[in-house]
Amino acid sequence: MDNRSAFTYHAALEALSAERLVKVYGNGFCALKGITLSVDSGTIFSLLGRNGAGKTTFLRIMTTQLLPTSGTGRVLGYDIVKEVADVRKRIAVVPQESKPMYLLTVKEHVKYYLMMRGFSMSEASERTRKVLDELGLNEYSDTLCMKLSGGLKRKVLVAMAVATEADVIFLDEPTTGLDPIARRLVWDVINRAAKSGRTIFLTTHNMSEVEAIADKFALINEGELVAQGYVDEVQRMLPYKMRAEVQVTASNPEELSEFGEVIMLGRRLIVYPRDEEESKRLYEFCTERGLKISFSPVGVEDVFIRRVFAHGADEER
Amino acid sequence: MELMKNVRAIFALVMLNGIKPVIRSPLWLIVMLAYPLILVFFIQIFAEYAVSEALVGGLISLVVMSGVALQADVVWYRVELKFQDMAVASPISPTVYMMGIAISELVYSSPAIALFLALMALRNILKISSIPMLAFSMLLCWLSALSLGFYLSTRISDIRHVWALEGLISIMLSMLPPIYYPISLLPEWAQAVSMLVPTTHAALLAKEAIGIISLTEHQRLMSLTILLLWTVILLMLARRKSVWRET
Repeated sequence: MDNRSAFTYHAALEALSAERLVKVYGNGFCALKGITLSVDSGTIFSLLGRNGAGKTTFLRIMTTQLLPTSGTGRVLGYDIVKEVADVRKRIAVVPQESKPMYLLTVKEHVKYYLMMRGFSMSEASERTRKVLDELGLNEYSDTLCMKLSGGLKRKVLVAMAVATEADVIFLDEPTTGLDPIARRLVWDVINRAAKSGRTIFLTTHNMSEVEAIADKFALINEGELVAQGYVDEVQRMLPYKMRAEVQVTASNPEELSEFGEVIMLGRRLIVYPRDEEESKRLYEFCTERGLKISFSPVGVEDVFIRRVFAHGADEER
Repeated sequence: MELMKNVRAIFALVMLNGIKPVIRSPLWLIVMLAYPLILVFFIQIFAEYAVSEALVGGLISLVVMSGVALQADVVWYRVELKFQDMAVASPISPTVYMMGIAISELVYSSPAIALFLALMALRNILKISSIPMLAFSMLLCWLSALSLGFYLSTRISDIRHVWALEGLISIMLSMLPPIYYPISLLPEWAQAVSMLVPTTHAALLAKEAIGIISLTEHQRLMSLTILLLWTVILLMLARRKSVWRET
């Protein structure tokens, strides 16, 4: 395989790649400090982080809305700075806090957005009919968006992106501010889009969202990537298999440290026992004192806690 | 092929920002019409002799308002709905986006423009021969106003600033300059200042076209040059300085 075909083959597998991506805003604030990551084609990738961590900046750079200060980025092999037109043809984005237009119906939103991207009226109408059918939005097809619930409004925006022929769909915090039922509606749409072979890149600060729909995730904190991996292999990223959440009392953080690593998270007390023996002793200790305790396998939230929260707490100490 | 895609994009923008909202909320048509019509009404009461001038003023006002109103829509789409972000990250070009929104603004003002043209015809001041120059000066006026509107809109981050700016620009371009009234009513220094404003020249050319004033060859050439110059400058400003992809 020569260099060019090796590159093409690699690019076909890689929907998105960033190398040492840096963004320093005009006021001197460094939002991204050399992000390097790659996203496989046909997967759901989630960029997880707190508010202000740099998620939206990264997404805006990769979707050609914002220029990076340095570093390179590619979407389906096309450079996000030098081959902008090629990138824009192949992506669709649903920005954070975006809203549909109040005086348009659901059907009109999808149809006119498609025509705006260059589809003919007949093709736009056909794709609209199909996407509304697939996403269960048919009954709202002629409803004005001002009359829809928050979840349905988000669903319309995601439907607009899904209806395009974009290979990569970017969703910036698609479920923020939605109730659990509305969130599931949006997850359902994302899952359907991924099943059709698209690559979905979404940002979120919701750990359960990552576990529910993402194949792979990366954790960003203060402009730096602090972890990345497959969601179903998250246990390999941590030195512990189990976690215990214990009822907080005035003295127990110190008392519990003999059963594993203890992290205080606001009003929550989390203990990571090192082995089964420690878990057993911890359980006995808590039940003897009448403290509520619940065990669960470690997950994405634990990566977040240990790499972002605990790391910050360690620095403060 | 590319041309067809651009035409479709403009059509889609006109539908989503103009035709559909107007059909569902026709109140906008009345709002657009009310301001120039009320001014003409007062001029009819207090200075009947200036009604023909006022009708030209109303026409220019409508064209300016349609350009300035673009500002509010562009900011609304960018800041509140984030629709512009969706457009930036799509194959549509900023020029096509701007044209689509600009033409959609005409949907709101065109019934009022038609009414003003009808009133001019009723007063026997609208002749076939006057239409080309009238249309040309209106076109330049519209291009200037919408270029200014688009340029300002991409630099404003709060919709409340647009409301203030919109009012100010309307006053500067369509209330203070001598478009509703004869320029000769102004003192000499004010006449000189008004010559810096593009709408003054659009009004002079339009008023001459319908035969209510006469200009010397030199005055006509000067008005045409200044109006054209303003249009080119503002178009270039909109094209070069407006922010599409942020840095």
